[in-house]
Amino acid sequence: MGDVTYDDVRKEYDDTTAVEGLDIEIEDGEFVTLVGPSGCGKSTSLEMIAGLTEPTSGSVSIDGENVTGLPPKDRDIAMVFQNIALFPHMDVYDNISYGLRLRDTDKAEVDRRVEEAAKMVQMEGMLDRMPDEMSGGQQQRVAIARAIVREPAVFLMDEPLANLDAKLRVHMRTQLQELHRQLDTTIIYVTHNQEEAMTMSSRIAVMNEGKLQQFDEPLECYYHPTNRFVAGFIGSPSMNFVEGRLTAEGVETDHFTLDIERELPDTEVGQRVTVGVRPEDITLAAGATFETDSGPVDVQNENEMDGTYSDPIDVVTDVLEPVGDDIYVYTRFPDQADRGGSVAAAGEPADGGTAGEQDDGQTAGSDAAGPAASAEGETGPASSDAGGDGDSVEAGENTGEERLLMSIPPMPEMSTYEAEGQRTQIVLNREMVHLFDGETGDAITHGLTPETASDRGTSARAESD
Amino acid sequence: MGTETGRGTTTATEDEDKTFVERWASGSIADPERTYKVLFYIVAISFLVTTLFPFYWLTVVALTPQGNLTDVGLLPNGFNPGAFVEVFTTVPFHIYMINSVIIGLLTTALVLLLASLAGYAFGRFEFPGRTPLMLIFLAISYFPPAAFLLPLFELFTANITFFTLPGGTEVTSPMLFNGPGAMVLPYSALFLPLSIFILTTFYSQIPDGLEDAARVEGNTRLGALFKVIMPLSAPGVATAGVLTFIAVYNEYFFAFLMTDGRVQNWATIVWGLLSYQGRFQTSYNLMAAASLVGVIPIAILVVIAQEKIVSGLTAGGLKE
Repeated sequence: MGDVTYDDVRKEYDDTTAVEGLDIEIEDGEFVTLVGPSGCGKSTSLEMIAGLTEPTSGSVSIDGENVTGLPPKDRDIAMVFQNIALFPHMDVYDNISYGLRLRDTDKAEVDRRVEEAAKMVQMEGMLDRMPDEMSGGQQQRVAIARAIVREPAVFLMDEPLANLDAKLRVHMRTQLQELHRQLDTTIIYVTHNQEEAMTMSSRIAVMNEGKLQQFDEPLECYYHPTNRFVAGFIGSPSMNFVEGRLTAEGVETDHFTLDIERELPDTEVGQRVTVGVRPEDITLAAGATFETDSGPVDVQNENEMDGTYSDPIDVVTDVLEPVGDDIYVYTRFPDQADRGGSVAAAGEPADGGTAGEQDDGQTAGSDAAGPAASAEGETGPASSDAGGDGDSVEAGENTGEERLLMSIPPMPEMSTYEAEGQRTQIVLNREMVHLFDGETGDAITHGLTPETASDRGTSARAESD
Repeated sequence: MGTETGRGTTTATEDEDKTFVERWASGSIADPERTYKVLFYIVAISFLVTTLFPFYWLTVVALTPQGNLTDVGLLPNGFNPGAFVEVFTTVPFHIYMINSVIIGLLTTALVLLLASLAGYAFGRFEFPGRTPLMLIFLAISYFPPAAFLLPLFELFTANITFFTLPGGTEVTSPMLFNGPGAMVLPYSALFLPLSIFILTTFYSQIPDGLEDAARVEGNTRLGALFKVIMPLSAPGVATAGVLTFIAVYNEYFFAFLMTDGRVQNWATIVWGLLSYQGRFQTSYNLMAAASLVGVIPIAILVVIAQEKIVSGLTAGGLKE
């Protein structure tokens, strides 16, 4: 059977370490995806199962047998390559049957199995074509047929869909999942595309810089990322991160504060943390609107408002990207320019650190009130009483870097262009706010509201994994 | 450019009393293409004359009857096509040719096998000392063959004792003189570097993915080399093979010295041609006819393999 185990695998090249301390246990019949940015060691890891690369230390086992030193031909595997790698001098039949013919399989048996494999990838009747007479999708289907015809214990797929166009890629993705259901064989799939990983796999292994970050079910990685890297890598558009500090009541950043209503073990007040929140967990605050030529557009769904949301946060919209089922709103925190050139912020003591109390914010807000009022008269009803961000505008700190991307439901009647550059208010869903350690990036908590049974259940399961 | 042409034409019309050379010179300055064309024809014609004239003259000599061989001019003194049959009746020239072809094929096979292995290593692996090793191969290929002759002759005539066994029997070098081995081995060594270079270039261009695919499908590295990499490098293999065969077929030095010249002792065309030289007279017309016959296999080979060789020689430099 096709269970695959990495045991403390390490791979070094001349001056770099490609993979380090890799421990993964893949069960028979699983569809596991190794995912990560380019250069994270995912392809090297796959090649070590294939036998195309030998680990520097550690061992790889297939079906309980240590195959670390075996050549590829003695491992019960088949592989689909990114560059397809059909033999250009052989026709489809010869390509598919290559492995069988090398093993001196009976001619009738070869014919039967080639026929079967070709049928599975819907390539019957094209067996005498040459690879260069076929489209990219057809070639990749032949490559998949070449892999399944040998009925191996493990399929290895190294970005097999990367060279196909977008539409075909989605189609082939579905076909691969169907194939997995039919064959019920272990598939180990490598991709840099987190969307492919999320949609196809039973479990995904997120890798970065040669180290395994998280090995879990796709949604577990999405809702309970173990660290900041996984949180940022999984999900599209990716999670927003804002640097902040823990306080007695919660967490504060340069622009807003959030209350925390649960116990956070192993943390201390003043600790540097990173606040992470996904675009879909940000919405406009109650009463906040976008002003357009045809009047204000209110996108707020009042029903969603309950205690889990944060206090309103002042932002300025930058760019709006309608993508059909959503609108991505890029927002930034207001700075001097947005206050009509207020000198108030310059008059503030430029600390911005521990002075981020509500009161300070109020002072700053009232200081700025005069000039800001005129600007607000044009840009809409965004109120200036939110506070908590007045002190953030200080020389030397690159506040422009910190942006929040918000995903809101589409409004067919709204012109996204007119809604750009406006002040408005947003709220964060505290149930879905993640906190990461500022130093290590490890997750501290997923959600700031009182812990529920399901939260505990999942985190307990994550630990036992 | 436009102004230049204008000035050229005006000077040409103004000075009609200039000499031919002057007019030609100013015309050439105005239109250099004209000069290039003339130069091309001069070079092309002189090249054709120098290469083809020996063949023409050989034909003239071959057709001239035996008695009229003095004062051979540009046309044959008589017409005797029978010489082309006589070459096979007076001497078994076809056997000499077969010897040459067999030795050529043996060498080619050996060279392709060894050069494939070397080309695979040089073309597909990064290892310390790769470039120096390649340069050593290149240097060896330019060594004069005469430098190897004496040691090789001693070696192939069983004159070298490697060591003496405890029983008193001496282990000497093999007796290869008068056999194909005496020629195939030195030829292989001499012509190997060129083939290694050609095949290295070709094998390095085969995508790694194809080799990986072959190995995952069940090949060893060697299997992948011979079943996937070599067939895909066919133009390169053909080029290396044809060049090696031609070089061996044309070789004079070892062919002359590594056999005693009898046809049953693997003597090649060189000895075949020399055998028309008798004690009392030399049949120059037969020699000429035999030379022309001897060229035929190479001519056929080049015509057949021409396309592959051209694509092989150019593709080597162009592919990425």
